[in-house]
Amino acid sequence: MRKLSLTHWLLCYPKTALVGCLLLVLISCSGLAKLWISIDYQVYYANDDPYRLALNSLESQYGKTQNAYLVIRNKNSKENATTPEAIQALYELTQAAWQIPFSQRVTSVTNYKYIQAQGDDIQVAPLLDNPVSLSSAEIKVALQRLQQEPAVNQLLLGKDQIMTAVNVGLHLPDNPIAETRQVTQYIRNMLTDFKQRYPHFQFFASGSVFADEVFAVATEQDLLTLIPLSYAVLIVFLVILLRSTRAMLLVLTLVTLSVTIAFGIKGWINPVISPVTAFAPSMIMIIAVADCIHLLNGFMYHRRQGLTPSAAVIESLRLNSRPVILTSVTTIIGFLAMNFSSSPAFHDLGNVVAIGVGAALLLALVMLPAFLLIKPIPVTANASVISRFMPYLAKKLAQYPYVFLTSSLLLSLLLIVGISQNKINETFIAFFDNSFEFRQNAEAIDHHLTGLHRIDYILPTDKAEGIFQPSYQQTLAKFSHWLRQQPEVAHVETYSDIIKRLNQALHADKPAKYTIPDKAELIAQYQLLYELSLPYGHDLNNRISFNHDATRLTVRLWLTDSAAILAFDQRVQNWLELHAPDIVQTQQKAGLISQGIGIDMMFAHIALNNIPAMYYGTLVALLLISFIIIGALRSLKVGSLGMLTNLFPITMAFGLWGWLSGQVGLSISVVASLTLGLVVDDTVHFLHRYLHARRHQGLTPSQALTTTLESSGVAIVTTSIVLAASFAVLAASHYTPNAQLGLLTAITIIFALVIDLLLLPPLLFLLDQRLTHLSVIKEVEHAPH
Amino acid sequence: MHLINKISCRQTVYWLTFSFSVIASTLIVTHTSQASTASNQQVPQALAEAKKRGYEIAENADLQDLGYSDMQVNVKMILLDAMGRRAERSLAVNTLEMTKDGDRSLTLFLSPRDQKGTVLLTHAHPQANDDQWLYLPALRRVKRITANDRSGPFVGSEFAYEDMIRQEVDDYSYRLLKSTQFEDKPAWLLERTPKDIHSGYSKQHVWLDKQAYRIWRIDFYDRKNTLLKTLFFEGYQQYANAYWRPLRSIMENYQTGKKTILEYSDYRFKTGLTTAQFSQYQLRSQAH
Repeated sequence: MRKLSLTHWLLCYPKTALVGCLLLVLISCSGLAKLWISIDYQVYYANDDPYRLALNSLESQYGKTQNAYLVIRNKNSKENATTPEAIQALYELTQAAWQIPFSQRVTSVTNYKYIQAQGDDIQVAPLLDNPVSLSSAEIKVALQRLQQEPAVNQLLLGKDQIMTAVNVGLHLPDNPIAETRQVTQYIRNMLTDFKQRYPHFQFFASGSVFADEVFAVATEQDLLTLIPLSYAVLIVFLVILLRSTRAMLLVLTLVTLSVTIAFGIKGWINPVISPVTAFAPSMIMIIAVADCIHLLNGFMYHRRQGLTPSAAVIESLRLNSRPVILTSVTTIIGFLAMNFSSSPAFHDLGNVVAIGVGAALLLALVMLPAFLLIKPIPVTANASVISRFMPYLAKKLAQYPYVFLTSSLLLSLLLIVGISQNKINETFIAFFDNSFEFRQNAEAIDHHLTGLHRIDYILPTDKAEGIFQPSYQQTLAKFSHWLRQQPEVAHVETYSDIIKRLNQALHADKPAKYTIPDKAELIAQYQLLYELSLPYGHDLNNRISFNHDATRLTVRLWLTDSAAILAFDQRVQNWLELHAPDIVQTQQKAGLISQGIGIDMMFAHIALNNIPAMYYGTLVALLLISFIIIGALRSLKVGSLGMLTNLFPITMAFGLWGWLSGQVGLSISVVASLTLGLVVDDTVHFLHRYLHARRHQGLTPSQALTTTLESSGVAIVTTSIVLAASFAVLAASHYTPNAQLGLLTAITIIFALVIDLLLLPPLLFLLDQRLTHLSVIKEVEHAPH
Repeated sequence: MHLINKISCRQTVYWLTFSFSVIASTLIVTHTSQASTASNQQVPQALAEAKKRGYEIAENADLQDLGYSDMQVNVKMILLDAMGRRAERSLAVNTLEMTKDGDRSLTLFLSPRDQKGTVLLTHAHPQANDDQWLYLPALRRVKRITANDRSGPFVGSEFAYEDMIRQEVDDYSYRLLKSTQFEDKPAWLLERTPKDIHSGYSKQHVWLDKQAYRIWRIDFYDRKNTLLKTLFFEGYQQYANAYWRPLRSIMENYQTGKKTILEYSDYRFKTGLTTAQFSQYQLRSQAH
């Protein structure tokens, strides 16, 4: 009744309605100015995420873990990066690196503080300071000695000497949007200058600032390419389906406004745009188009029947507003279920798309009819291929229901078996395809120098000054020795190496004395002697806590995936429990996490944690949507049947994914809840129409099937194709998580179409026939109106 | 034809406006640059004056301490990080005034326990690298610290060694930035630039009061010329009727959020320390 009065109000004041909608758009627009793209991949983590807290705690004590990593390589592939000219370039690059904004520490082989005996004293000084004054033989000797240093080998100097590097520790403020760009831009300019001065060498950069930056670049690229692509796809489909430029423009305007409202409101609630959210505009557009198509199709259908524009609007609203509202609500629920994800970035995506779908619904129900009333669009005669095919399909389905049923069940089972092939896994470097310089650099460095993944372990003792205990140092030394034997490990940086080296230097560099001293006082005093010899930016504050109760050990792993990182960390836990029970006990007592710390660990955990979280989210969405559909269809049996068949497309898609890829990462794990709301729409339309035919038109099951396929079938096929094609276009993203999300969603929608056309009808048909004289008819008879 | 005319007419207008604005802006730029060269000529003179005044003030400040002969003080060092974690060390510092050379100082480590009894001896030299030795009681040996680049943090604190000890006038070049106020006291703001190329700082800004040339605040700028940390002095008291010394100094690092507080107690002046006590050969006996 209220809807009817809304329609009447619309008929009377179309212009007011139009202006009202535009006002709403304008008001929400004001939030757009607040939006900004976050460059910080911490947007993926909740504020109270234990691994994020552990990283914050580590950084407050040992300094920030951000870095830039500058690499030199000889262009002549026969020569390595240790020629006198290369070392001179490295020396100058090291000096220049101190000027990089926010730099705190700069280390390379040319300024590495080499500890050695000098008579009765010890010297802590670089071996390659001022390399111009050294002969190539001297450089060679120095490099040989440096290569023996665990802190240098495979971090600052490659084992094969093909690459050398300057590691720059940075201290960026929180939310370093502008600062990261400032640093990367500064480094790029600096390297361009070096490339000109040293034309025989390659200079390139990596490190956490570049990883941060590549996220932002991927986001921007997606915003710049995916949105135009989505528009292009929509324009093509709309022109084909609507055959009217004006209708096409009208729909495009409505979708654009839906996106504007969604992001305007987002600007007020949560102004951060992450790579994941960059995906939202395309999604909103795709979903909003479906609403518009339903209403416009209805309008055109009735116009063709000879109704006046206003009568056609009323008819279209009367027939379509209910299913459109219903399907929008299920879609919104599906997206809101993303709030179950363990990553805030996906909450954000779900919420902004949900807002967008809501806005699209409002605009489609108010603004579209208002516009049609003010300025009706012309209508062309229409006879689509799909509508000619449908009666044929209906006939065959009624003829051979078992054939269709068994073959589609077999096909789905075959696919579903593939689910077992899926593993929770994420490969960070594969987020970015080969078009990204970041990936190329990281892979080159991985090949010749060191690993990209960094894991920190904080190893506490139970009292202040405890790190001077020889037993602790022994454990540390054993631990790093064990770590260096692991195949994943590229580099280990540990405090015990320094103590051993100091002991050796204080014993006239005797190799046998490369050991841990046996007295705590010796260790403490050696350290004091060493610390007093260190210059700015080379201190031990990044290795030891200031009350000397813990040290930090950094492991670099060769490029790998999250499953391997977690497995490695688990082995580390096991080793520590077995060989360093004191440390583990202290960790437990102090409530510290014993796992590795760092961005790579955070990534590995979040993919793992997100699966169960999203599983529950999808389950809740499924229950909610089921209630709504059962209520809306007023039939428990048919409604449950519809929901059950909707589990098929999702499981089939994940099965196919298992056969194709088998890696389920963060973004793939949200596809189930995302698509649930979408795929259910077709079923709703189908069942709605079928029950209508059975209940109100009194048709037999076979007749009802034909009518349903002829009318709703056409809409189901067209919207599914539009949705699937548009999501498939998102697979063009160079940012793999987004590309995979688009691809898997498209696959799910296609499967949903197949199920809705080939599995659901025969199943419904058979059940209905068997029950015709029993419950369904009873139910139909007793159903209200 | 009409259309072409219209377009070319528009283009002419466009080009005229464009060239006019180019000429106008060139004129403005040349004019302002002439104006600035005119004022530039006065700059070197003003700069030389500011440098001279700056040096005089630093010299005067140094003169205030002339004749203190020797000083002993206990120092409690409190280290704090951004999350409120805390660590303490305690030191005893003896300083000996030298007339022809830089001052000499002995820093005795009282805690942490495993470093107790360690002694650091420094012979400062105004024109050359300082000499430093460390006595390690666990080894019972004196080791010379050979590095000439010692700008790193002192025992994990926010202080570099150079921030803790009395500075020689000629370690820096100076420039008076302005005459100002520091907490209601008339004060000078000096800029001093370390002469040592190994220094961790590009420059420092120093606030001293005009009354007694006491330093109240120092801003340290790192090698990239960004503000790194600030040192505040509190609770100045006069000792031996002549020498002003603070009770606390607080170093705040802006980049790491860490802080180090030095609490001074038991200042003693003119206790009769001798050069022999500040000799590297006597270091072992000083440890007790």
